[in-house]
Amino acid sequence: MYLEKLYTEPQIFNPVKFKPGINFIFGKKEKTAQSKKSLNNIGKSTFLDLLDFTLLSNYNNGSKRLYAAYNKGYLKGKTVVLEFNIDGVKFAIKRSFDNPNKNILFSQNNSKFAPYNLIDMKAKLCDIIFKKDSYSGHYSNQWLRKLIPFFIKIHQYKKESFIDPIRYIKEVNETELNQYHLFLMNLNNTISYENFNQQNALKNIKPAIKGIKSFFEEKYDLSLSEAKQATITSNLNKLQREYEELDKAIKNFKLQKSYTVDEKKADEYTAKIKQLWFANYNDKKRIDAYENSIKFDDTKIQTKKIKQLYKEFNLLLAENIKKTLDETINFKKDLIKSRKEFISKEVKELNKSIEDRKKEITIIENKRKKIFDFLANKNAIKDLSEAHYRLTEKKNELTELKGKVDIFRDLKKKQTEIELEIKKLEMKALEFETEISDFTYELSKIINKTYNAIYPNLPDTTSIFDIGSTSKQSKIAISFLENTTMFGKGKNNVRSLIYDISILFNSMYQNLNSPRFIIHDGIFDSVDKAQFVHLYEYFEKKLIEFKKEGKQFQYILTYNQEGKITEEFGNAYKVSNEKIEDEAILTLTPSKKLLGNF
Amino acid sequence: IPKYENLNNNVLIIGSDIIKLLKKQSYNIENLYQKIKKAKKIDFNTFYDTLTFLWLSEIIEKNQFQIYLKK
Repeated sequence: MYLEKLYTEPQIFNPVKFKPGINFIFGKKEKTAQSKKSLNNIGKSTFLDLLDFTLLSNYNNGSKRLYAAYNKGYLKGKTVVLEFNIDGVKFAIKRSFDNPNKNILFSQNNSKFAPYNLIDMKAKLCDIIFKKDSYSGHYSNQWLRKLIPFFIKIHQYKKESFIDPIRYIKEVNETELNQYHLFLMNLNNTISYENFNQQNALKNIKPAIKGIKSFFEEKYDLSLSEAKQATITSNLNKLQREYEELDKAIKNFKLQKSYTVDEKKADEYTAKIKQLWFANYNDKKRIDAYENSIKFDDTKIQTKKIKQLYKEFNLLLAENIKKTLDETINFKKDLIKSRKEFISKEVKELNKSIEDRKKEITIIENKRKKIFDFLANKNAIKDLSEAHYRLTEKKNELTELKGKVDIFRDLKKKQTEIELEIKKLEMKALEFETEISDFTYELSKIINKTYNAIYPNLPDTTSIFDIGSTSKQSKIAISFLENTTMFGKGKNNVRSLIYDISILFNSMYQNLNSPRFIIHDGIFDSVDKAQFVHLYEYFEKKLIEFKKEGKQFQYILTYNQEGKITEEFGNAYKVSNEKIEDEAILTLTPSKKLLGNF
Repeated sequence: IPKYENLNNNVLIIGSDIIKLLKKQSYNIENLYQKIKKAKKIDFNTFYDTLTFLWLSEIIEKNQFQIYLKK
């Protein structure tokens, strides 16, 4: 992939055409009264941002420069267009700031522009730029924004320094990045890819395990925090015992169904007692009524009165009377006596049934008392509803505990399985190290050449680069000058310069489908300028070398005008300010900024 | 009913009430009294006199406790 042209529609700045070799984005001082004006904030990085934007960088709050420029109105209604070619095929991509994630326009071989949404465009672009037909490892077209940042290194803030080229995306760890590195080197990245997936699975499991551990600690005062397996096991056993005891307790509850039966029985007895009491109450009322009735019956025989009654009756019915006066008197006597006898008999019977009921009540009350005593002695329940409540509580506790233990065990099992897989990968990484030793040697040669070209005065160090296995999380380690103290605070600038260029040249030697450009924003800010001259000469040489094979590369960098470079180095005329300005693909000054006065 | 002091209206009215009750079922003396007492204000003496009158008229009979209509 070669870059050809970048411009905006409608036009903000003159279209920038890219060329083979070094492409300067030049910050030039002005020979006016304002020459002291800073070369910062004139749009060098913003230009690179626009290029990155067309290659589908995330456009949001995080992309501070572009976002700020848009909010100030400089980019409203603007579309950025990048033209590039791959193996002679022309491509163009248009992305607008008003609608950056939908309606991205794409053209191939001068075809009509077709619209894509961001996700589809990323996948398509990734395949076009990176896909290799004969690659033996794992590749995904979701990797565009993981691979492009290797080739485009822009600073988000002023004075932000270069980061480790092996860890070229700040937020991403080596475990993930290794698979991209190996892919870019055309080495089989299967081990790194699988390791990344396993480590991810492990990463997802660990918080869950931690959550359950803290649950145990808080709720059951079981400390699982020690890393010792034995401690965890003994704690789990303790937990298991507690769980079994709880389980047993619940089972006992279940066995003693008689509890509920007893409760029911007690309720029945209570109802019966109430019924008997009520019957007795009624009978007592009746006795009272009878006794009252007798009390007010002071009837005397009044023989005289009966005689008169009998006489009057005789007058009335004369012959028809068969009863004698004595019989009549006796009848009335009998009536009175008979009623009294009846009442006393009734009262006696009522009293007897009251007594019988009282006996029955005593018997039932004793039975009921036994049940209550039994339940109270068990201390399990004061009444049925409380028993059910406690049962439910226990059940819930048990369920929760058992659930957590089960999950914990599943997770631990899963964790062990994953760790086993990772161990296997560690073994594979050892073999891998041997398998790729030839390649590592070849890449080392490229890296050493680049290194020696830029630092010709330093001793020839043969072992500055290696790919090897490690017991660390990434399992494969790419090591390159990470421990050197030679370059001061510009260490990562130098490392990025050498490593990135070497990877670029390697992919050219191997004819890999990948970008043929490197973009370094402010790479020489913290690097001795002498090295810049050496790099320039090295690129001149390589450009000619590759041209013979019909290949070319592009090195795009931002560069600020320097004061004294011409006086100190023999070949410094090659990078004099005038020459750079002459060669630059874009020159910006404090009064001629990229976006006007932004 | 003409001069008859004791065989008065009261006795006759209560008598007819008792006959009505006994047509349905027999009663013991106490229950019959309570039943009649609910409808009419009556003292024991009048109650007993009425029963005696009904017995003399061969309308009712009694065994130990029960009073019933003579068939």
